[in-house]
Amino acid sequence: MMRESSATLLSKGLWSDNPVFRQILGICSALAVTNLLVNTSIMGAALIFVTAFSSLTVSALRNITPSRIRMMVQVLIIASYVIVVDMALKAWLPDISRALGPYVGLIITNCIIMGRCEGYARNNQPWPAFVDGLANGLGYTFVLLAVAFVRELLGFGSLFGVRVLPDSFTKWTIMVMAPAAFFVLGTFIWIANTYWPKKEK
Amino acid sequence: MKKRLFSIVYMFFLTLVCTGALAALEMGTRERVALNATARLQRVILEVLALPVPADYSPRQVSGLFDNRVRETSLEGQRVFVGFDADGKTPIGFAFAATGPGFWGPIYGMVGISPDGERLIGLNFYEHNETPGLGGRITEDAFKMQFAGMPLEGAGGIFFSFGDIDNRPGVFEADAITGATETSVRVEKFLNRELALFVDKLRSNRLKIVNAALNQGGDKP
Repeated sequence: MMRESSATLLSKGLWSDNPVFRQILGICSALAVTNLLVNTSIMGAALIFVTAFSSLTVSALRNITPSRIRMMVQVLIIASYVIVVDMALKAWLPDISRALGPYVGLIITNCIIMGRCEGYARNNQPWPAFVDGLANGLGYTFVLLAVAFVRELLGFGSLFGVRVLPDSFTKWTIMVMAPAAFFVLGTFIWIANTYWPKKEK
Repeated sequence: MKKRLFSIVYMFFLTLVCTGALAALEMGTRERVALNATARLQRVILEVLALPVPADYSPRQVSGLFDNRVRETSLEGQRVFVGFDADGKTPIGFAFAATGPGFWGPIYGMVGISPDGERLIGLNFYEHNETPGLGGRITEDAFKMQFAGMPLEGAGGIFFSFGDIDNRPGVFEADAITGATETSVRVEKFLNRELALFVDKLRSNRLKIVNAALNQGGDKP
């Protein structure tokens, strides 16, 4: 496989092959944890950590892992990192852990991570695999933060919990509910595909 | 055959390494996680007993304050927390857990009642699944604090109401949450029910509870 520079990997993960709005992956949590920017940031950080280190580990073990059991191995590695994140949140950020609820555990099922392990890490060296995982995690976080920015601003009148709109502003109740994430994410994908269409290969 | 055997051995050792590392991490954080959970409930109890906890208190400090000022006892099988003045002898209030169904799932609340059993002194909801920004606003001060000082007169088991009460004597008129009628109605229902059950019991057993609590915490500073 052709070697790509770290910069190319980053730009692909963040934009041109963005997992959320280009590949439409990881939508479940994108809808569930985007009504407050603080929660979204932590969720994004957790996903970046898991994606980057899972890719790194899968890549480091790629030459000795028997290919017939590689998916089992990938799930084991991903699940272990997710549990590390979950335990760390419970111990040091209990409020955030409660707010994110089951969604931290559900990172295991996020298609982005397994997709990167299977599609990139198992055929590439550890460092590019790590950067690729990092880039995809960042791409996911960036889209989630954009959605959360709109939802928190219009739904609560605040950003990162700090009130920015005047009290006279009527909060858009729909924005704090799950359907709003569909509207905002849909609009985001529509804008991205209209103004920056994906180049046909 | 050899390949198969290698796959099994490989998977076995990888699983061993992963679970071993996680078990070590779990042991390292277990105490902290347990303390977080305990301190969280203790903070809620202190708050409903009108014993303010500084926001920057660590879980350990919250537990310290709780041990100094609150003692737990039970009344007919129900847990009751008795708050004491700094002298450790004068009761400043009673707290009990009030739980009921919300719109999306159970709502767990804690209620503080004055030492004479005549007023509600604090209310908090510490666990719920209500919609953030709507029913979830039951945890906001604007909603909770309106109940502080509410007289517990009650008329036919109703202590407060969000609806049109036509100036019914003994019924406190509270403000519901705009846009969260379902949550408000459910809170009104279960909180009135829990209050009716507890207040009568409390009034006839006040001294007994205080004495039991004092004896229970006898060895504490």
